[in-house]
Amino acid sequence: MPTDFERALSITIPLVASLFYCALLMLAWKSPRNKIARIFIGYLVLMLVWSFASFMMRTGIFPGPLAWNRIMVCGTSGIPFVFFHFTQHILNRTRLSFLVKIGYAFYGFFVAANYLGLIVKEAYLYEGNFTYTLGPGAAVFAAVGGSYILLSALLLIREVFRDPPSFWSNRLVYPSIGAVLMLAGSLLNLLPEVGKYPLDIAANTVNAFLLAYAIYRYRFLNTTITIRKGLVYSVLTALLTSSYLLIIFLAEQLIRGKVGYTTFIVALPVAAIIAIIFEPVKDSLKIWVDRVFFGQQYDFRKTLKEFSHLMTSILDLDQLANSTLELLSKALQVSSCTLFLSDRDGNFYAYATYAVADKIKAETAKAIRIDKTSPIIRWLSHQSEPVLTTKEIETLPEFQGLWQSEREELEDLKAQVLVGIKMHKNLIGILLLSEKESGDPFTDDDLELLSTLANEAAVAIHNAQAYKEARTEALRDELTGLFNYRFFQEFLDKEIARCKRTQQNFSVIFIDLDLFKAYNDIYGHLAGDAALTKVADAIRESIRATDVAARYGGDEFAVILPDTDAQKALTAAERIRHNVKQSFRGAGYDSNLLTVSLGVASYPKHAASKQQLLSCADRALYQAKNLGRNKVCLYTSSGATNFSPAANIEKAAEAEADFLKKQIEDAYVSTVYTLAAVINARDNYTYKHSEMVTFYAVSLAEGLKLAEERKEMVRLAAMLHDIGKIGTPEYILNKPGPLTPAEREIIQRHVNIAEAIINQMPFLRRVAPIILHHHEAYNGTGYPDGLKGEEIPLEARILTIADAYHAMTSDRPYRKAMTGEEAINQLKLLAGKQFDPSLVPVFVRLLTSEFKNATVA
Amino acid sequence: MPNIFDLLKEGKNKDVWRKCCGFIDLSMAEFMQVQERLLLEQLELYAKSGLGKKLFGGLFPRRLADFRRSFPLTTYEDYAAYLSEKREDLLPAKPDYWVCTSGKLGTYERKWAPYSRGMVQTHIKNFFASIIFAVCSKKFEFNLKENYKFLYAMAPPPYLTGMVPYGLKDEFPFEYLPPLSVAEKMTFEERNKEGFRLGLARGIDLFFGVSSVLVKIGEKFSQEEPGGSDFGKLGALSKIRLAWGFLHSKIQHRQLLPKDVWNLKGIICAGTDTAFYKERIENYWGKKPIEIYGGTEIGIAATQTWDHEGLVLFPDANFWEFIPEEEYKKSLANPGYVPETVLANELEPGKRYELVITNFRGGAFLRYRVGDLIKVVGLRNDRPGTGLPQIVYEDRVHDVIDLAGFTRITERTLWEALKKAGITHGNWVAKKAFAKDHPILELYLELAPHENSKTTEENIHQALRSVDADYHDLEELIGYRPLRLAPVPEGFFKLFRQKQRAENNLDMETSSRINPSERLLAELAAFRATQ
Repeated sequence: MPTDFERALSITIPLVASLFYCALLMLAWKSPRNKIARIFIGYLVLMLVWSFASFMMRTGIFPGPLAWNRIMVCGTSGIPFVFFHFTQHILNRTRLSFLVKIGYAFYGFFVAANYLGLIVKEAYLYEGNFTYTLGPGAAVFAAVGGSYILLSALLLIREVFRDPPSFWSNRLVYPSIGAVLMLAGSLLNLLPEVGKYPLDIAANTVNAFLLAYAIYRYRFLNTTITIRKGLVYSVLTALLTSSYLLIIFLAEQLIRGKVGYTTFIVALPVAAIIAIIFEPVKDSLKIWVDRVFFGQQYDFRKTLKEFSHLMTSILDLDQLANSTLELLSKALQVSSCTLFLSDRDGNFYAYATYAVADKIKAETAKAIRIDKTSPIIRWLSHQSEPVLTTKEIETLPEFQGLWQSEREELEDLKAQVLVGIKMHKNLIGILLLSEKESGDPFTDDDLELLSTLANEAAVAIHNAQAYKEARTEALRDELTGLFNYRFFQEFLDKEIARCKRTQQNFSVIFIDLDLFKAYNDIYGHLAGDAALTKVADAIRESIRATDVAARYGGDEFAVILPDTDAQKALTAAERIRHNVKQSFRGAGYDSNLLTVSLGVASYPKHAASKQQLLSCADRALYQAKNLGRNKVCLYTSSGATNFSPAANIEKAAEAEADFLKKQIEDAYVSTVYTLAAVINARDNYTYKHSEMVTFYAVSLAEGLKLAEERKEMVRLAAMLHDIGKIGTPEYILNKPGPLTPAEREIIQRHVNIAEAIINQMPFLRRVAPIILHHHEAYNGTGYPDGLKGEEIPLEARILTIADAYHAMTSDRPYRKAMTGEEAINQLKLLAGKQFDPSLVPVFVRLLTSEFKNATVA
Repeated sequence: MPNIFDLLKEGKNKDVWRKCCGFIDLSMAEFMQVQERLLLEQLELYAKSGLGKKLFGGLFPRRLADFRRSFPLTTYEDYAAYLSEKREDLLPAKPDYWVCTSGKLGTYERKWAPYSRGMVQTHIKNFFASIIFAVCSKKFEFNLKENYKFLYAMAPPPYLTGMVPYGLKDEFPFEYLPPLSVAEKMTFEERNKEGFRLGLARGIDLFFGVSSVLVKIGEKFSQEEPGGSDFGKLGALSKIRLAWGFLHSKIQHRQLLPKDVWNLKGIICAGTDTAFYKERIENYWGKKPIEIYGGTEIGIAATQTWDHEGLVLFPDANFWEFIPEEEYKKSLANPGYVPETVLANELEPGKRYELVITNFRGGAFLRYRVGDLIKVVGLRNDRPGTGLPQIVYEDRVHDVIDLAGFTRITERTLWEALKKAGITHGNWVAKKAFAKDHPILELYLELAPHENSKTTEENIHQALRSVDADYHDLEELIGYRPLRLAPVPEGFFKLFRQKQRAENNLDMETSSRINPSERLLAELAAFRATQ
């Protein structure tokens, strides 16, 4: 006679099993219906039939134990064969497929035999005890069914212990354990004392659980299978509630057995006590389920809340990126997480990386750049839910265009998921997550969390970028667009602090325009500004996105190169030198004046502090200048310098015959200009004088409507008319009193010197007579040849007037400047004597803007 | 990333489908995006390589238009000096395999082509697509099992077909009949014989080979008793299989056919005659073959899908350019002429094109004239649901017989005409000849003693008139019959083939029936002289 407890247990096991199978069936039903899923569903249906019919049979409900038993055997007798089929399919075997067919034939036979009473003859409840009599077919079924389960177990175990291990080896551990349990449960039926309890159902239930776990854990069905936490918790709650009610029922039975009766008053405190005991059990089970099904636990809502707080409280992009990546890495337990942001060209570069104790991976990620033409960018841009797994990259045909190197980069990073961050449908960033530290796949909940976070992050990152841009604008040099001195100093401080922390190195390049002052003097400030902008552009093009270029002073620039040693910095500097030179070549600039000298120093190799580093770079720069400009020098503690070999190679290339002539001409002109600039630099008056004489002379030539070519000659002559004063001692030029005849003779020689210089340049020879004769007088009393009237070239006559007018209206050491009116009067007075009488009125009217259309007679 | 076998074991058939066959679902724009992206990768690799520097001065155009403008079209001659010496140091990527053409083709003893790891992976994936198409009946619905018996009746390494099973090993464990190590040492005929012998004992699930072999075996089955005189020598399993097949055929009230003995899951065939034989193969074997198109320099280039109609080019196999017919005609007439090319998205249905390819993934050939003619039969195919152009491989460019500028007879045209004239065997070759100053098509055809050559010639002539409108016009307008039938006795070509094999020469297996080898023509001329 069974005790109440035994009876309750024999009812409870099939009931709990039925509930469990219902839940599993729901999950399997929701998953895509491939072959494995279909067989598994079949298996679950049979188990449900078995356990539910067993439960009903033990309760004695209509139509009675025998009828339920017949139904139960329909489930029981199919299990070995369906399980074998399932095993075959998982192992993808064809060799034993005939056994599957034979097994199903057996199944049909056993079902029929059972209804004929050949397996179970009779089944009934006697005093609450379930009793049955087996027929001759039972032994056959036990032998055949047992063999099938045994064979399944052996095949699975063989695959698990296969050497070398296959892809499936570790994945089949759980199904193997389940098969062994199932076999053991079936064998226990042979022991009547144990067999009277439904231990076979219990064993099969555990097997089903193991299978379900293996299917989920290793994605046997399909990775799109969705097991939501909510659903798992619902199943758990249902199971706990059943167990709770069952325990109350058992307790009630126990009290009734001991006391003889129960009342509501007694039952209520019992239920309450059980509930109190149950609560921690429930919590423990929840944690256990989380661990089994979802790996390392994270709280979805808590993570979201923390993230939202981050998004609203941080405006600094660096801080935002680092905090976001850290939060994500910790929540999802991934080994690294990288944020890519879009640059101006639409390419994506690694902005920040968070790696768990893996420095190399962070460095690898940093170097990665996702090209705007990459199918990854295209895909993420076009998807409304831009979450991309590497499995999709491997399988979707759209990604066939991915480069081998790009695939390798993703592999190096062990990338698993890429999430697009979109603002107004524009892709502004990408989150790349590497594999989880546990090796578990990403769940749907993980992907949902990432998608939600990316949505939230979009606005925050957009705002932080805008803020950073605005802030950066304030730290930029207005003319060149490079960073300003302040930002450079700030960044340098940060970089030194970073390198002290990480034991890394960086370098600084100082860049100075070689003859910029001369260029500015000759071509004016506007041209000088344009040249500075061009140099800045060339620097920008020569460096990486991570480098920082700044305008350090007037014509000085500086570049900070993070994670760059001295030799690499030297290469970068040489690239800058070359690109600056190239950028002025053939672009209407004086490329011989516009060269740069560069000094390179490295931290911590050359200096231990910021000031030391700047000083080292500065010294290297001056070394480059001293060595003849247009050079790159690397600072060395001994004071010696290293030169980049590329400079020599380039020089050799430039010496090619085709360019030689042009080079010489350019060099000569530049030299002349430089000499002019040197004179101007010695004597501020002369600089301004040349500039103003050019202005007056060109204006007069325009007023006379001279042809363009002749105007250009006037311009050149005016600019160079005092070039001969290079041979005039400075004391004579700036003498406050009247000159002695000897001094006068010396100074008069400047036109001959000028002619000699100009004649060295074939392409300027036409200008030489103008300069030579610009001190001739119209009446023949001038020098050097005493020409008169029309014998003097027209351009020279124009220059004479312009030169005299500006000389008269300027302060000189020996006299005060005349007013404009006085000078005009003087011009008029000397018209026909010193000046061409036909030009003076035109010039005067031009000065007073009285006429526009003067012509030369 | 798990290989195809692992994915299938996990039940991820859809993922395998998308990975291998998903390209048919690409739009034309997406197809071109894949093409242009991989071209850019190839150009970057090429620019850095010794070959790139030697041939094109290290050019690296970043735009497609610049690429087509700045690179000239090439032929094997441009590469011969480097590839025949296998100069791996000059290549854009280190090769895993070197494959070559079989037998004498054109000027070169053999043409060599390097295959980098990336190329091998791509072409193997593409071949796997053909396998899936061969075994599937609709999208996503296919089944491949471990150790499927694969009768692989194609040439061994270093031919392209020999590289495929080695690449497939990394993706799926097929059981080859005969095993690869054994097959490599066999002749073509031995390989086929041994394959079918093993297949009789163990079954055949997949076949890749020449379609005429399947037809020949089908014919043999339909003409002989099961097992023939060798029945007694067969093993027990073979006998059971044959007996089962025999029983099956009797239930069907017909003679024994291969489909009674074997249950082939998929058949893959290469070559133009596949289309010609496909109904007969289905009749004999119960399964239509999938035609694939490939070659030494182009790898696995295109495949039919499960509807067995037009072939679809793989987007990641090569960069595809096409010389329109009128352009390649000009270039044939004037070797100095540089023909224009069009891209895959500019193809027009019904037109013929000469193929120009650029290898991807570090291959050697850039804007390379393969010498193959394809015809576009449609710009989409709604049955498998693809919006990509449908092509058929027509012939070799040089294997076309131009008759008086009126018509260009290809092997395919002749197959169609012969079929229409009731001639179903493939024992024929054709060349261009002259009769009374008129160019004619001289057809060497095996005829049985009872067949009348005059009647046969007339039948073929009428068939040609019907299948080729230009041929029809030629006679109508110029006024002469452009066909001359030169009958040869039955077994002539077989005898020639045997002689060739004895000399280990694969000419007859690889060269076209149009303008065949000098050797065969000499043999034919000698035979005719004795008549």
